[in-house]
Amino acid sequence: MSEVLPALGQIAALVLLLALTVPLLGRFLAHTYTSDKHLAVERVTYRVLRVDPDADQHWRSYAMSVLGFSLVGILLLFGFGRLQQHLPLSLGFPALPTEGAWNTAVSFVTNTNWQWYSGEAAIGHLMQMSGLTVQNFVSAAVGMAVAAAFARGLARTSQEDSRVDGRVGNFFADLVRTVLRVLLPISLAAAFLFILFGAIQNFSGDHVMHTLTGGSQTLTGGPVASQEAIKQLGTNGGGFYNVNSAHPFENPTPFTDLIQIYLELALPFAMAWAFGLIVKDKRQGIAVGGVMALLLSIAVGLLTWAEMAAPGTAPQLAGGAMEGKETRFGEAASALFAASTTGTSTGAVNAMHDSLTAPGGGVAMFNMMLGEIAPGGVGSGLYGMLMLAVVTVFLAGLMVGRTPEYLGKKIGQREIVMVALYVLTTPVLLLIGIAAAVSFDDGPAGILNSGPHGFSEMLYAVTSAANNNGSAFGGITTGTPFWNTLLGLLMLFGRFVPMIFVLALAGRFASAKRLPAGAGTLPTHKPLFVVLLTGVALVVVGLTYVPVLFLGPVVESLS
Amino acid sequence: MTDVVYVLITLAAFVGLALLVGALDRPEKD
Repeated sequence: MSEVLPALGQIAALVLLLALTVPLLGRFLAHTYTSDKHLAVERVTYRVLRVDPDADQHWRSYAMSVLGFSLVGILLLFGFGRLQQHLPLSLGFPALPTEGAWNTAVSFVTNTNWQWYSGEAAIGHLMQMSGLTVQNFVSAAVGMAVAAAFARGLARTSQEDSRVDGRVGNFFADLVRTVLRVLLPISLAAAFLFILFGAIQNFSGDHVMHTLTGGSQTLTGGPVASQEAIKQLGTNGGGFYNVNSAHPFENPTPFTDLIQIYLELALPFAMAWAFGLIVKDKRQGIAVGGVMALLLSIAVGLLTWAEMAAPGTAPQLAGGAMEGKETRFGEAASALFAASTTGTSTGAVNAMHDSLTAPGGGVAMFNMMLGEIAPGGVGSGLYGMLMLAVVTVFLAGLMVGRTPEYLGKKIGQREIVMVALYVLTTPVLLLIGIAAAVSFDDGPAGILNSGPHGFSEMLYAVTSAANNNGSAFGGITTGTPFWNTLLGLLMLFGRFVPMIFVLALAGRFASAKRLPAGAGTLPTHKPLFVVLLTGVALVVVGLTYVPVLFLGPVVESLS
Repeated sequence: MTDVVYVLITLAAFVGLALLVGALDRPEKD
């Protein structure tokens, strides 16, 4: 049987699953972020946190809450890493080195989940559960909260209610609701499903197994399924094991593989649907989600082609590009996973990206460079796409000579400056990061390959960190003070600087009057806008990286 | 000692981010 049919079959199953559930999830998310009622368990949480969930925060206060909450998270997790040897269930592992503990703390709080270490060989169960998994939940919730605040900013207007002037909601209410109503229940169900299909969930340490050939192998047990569920659902990506979702204990079958891909795509698409409901125009959410789907489809198509056609001498001689891929999944499922994990901010892998074909690796990198908007991180995907929507109406406004507006909100000088700074932040960080990596001896010291592939290894690492993806190309050793510090800084600023611009813009939109749609208003729910927005994403963002891509994957493809 | 350095790096980064919030919140000049 041709390999094309199963490849198309899994894509069809995924699309069907998403089409059936995204509208329901989207409606539930919209209700979560607009409801006035608090659940009993939420009220208890607010009392413990000593916060008033009904206080409508000014964007400044909302942003400071995001920063304060994240700072505490980093310091706590850093402490966990440095004191690991004294913690119960540490499995005898020593403390993480200082820069490694810091990198890990920043990585998990920023929803990046970049791992310089092998999970099963460095982290005990308590740190996995109380440190890393907790951050998997709350870092995802922070991103979703910011996206909800942005949607609120667009939905509100001080003209209708003067009390909303610059106010975008309550961060702690958004955070607690996201965790308790959305992430926990779905993760629980997904974890049970994974256990049912063979993922492990225990408190075992190492087991030495004797193989049929007389050798021995050490297998590490642990609370894997529970971490796996939120790892995918929250677009986190940090695996229990070093090989992540390529490990049979994390991702046992092609069915669990499909569910893992579904989980990482479901909430980002549902957030787009929820956006339409929050701004009271469902078509807006469908348009934004449509662009996400279009960009993801392009990436899936290109990556699947690259891996299945297997261009290059070595794959042609071997009869397929199976290096670094699980035989359980094959080329097509590996390509679908790679496109989804880099289109979202997940960063989990079921195949080693260093072994993707040169064009395949280039697509994965470009996917991240787009800012992970196809469909992006659980919250960052939506606000990233909405920022580009503002750029699109601005450019369209320039073309027809009208004042640009989005959902009735005028895009003035200050607004477009904020959006421009947002769009520029990640490229600036990424390009400074790769410049630093090639300028110091410590950068190339960790790479495995020379030439353009070695450059790609470094480029992938800084791209992954600056975009808060967390997937690793492999082939590069980053557990050094230089790489841990550089990538930690990229993750930190790559997460919070854009978030601040998003919240500032949300506040401005909430304060602005709503302009009535006129003859010069660009409809933002029609196919024309979908095409324009897709073009803006590819041209404005994508072109920034073309020169640096030429130095790595493009040169490698041509050689 | 190195632990303190990394804690200080983190605090400095967040102070910078808080300053950015403050800068963006400044009222516009007409």
